[in-house]
Amino acid sequence: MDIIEKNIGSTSIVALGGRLDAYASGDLEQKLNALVEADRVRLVVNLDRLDFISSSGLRVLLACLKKVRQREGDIKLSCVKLPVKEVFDVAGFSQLFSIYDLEDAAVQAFNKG
Amino acid sequence: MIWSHLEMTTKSNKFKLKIEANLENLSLIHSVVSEAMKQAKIDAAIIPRVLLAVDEACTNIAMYAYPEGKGYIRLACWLDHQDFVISIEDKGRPFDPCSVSLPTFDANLDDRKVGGLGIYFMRTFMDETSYKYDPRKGNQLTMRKHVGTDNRESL
Repeated sequence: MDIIEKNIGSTSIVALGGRLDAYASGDLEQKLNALVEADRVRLVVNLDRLDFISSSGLRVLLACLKKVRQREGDIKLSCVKLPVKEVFDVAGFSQLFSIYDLEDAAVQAFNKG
Repeated sequence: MIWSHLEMTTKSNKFKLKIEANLENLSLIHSVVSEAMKQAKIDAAIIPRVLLAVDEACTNIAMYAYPEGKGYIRLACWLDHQDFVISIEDKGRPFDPCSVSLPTFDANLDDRKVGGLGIYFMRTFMDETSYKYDPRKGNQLTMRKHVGTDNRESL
């Protein structure tokens, strides 16, 4: 999996590509924990290039969502496509996360909030 | 990828793979099962569901089956009439994923538990999952997915 990170103001964008399986989820967990520890809790996770996600990846995203919401932040997802979208739906995660079609819309939603 | 510990054959219309049980090998297992389903001309919408179930089963083996050290996963997949069948074996600790109670999904984030999802996916995305333990062969998990009849060829 590849992880590309960039900042727009106080929002951090984390773009994921490839496979988010149990092997890759440790890397993502480290990256997200580092952001939260640096008090960057307004996160947009762009899944446009993500081909595959397993329960390990969902666990990392859920654990981070709980942390950032405790700190008045949020994770907003963007560009969630099939087959990843189906996994979110079946796990009931589509109700837990705010999901946007476009990365820009997710970033704008923080600015409005 | 630990190629020296990989054996793959396609005898008698079956894809077979023996591979060291570790998380790094999940992507290779994914590629092999994906190729088997593509060759069988299975509906593209079904393929990711089966791949997820296989990934979750193999993740459990890689993480928990061999606490003492290294071990192997033996995987075979084939078409059986209208079903795509995957057999996954390991000689690790006995574990029956079919006996685990499924998680309840709480809409409240604070109460939402993070465990049990992998087995939930296996049982949700496959039409049948069955398990048996054989003292000689170890854990034997068999999963079946109905893939219909339209215009497919044998593997």
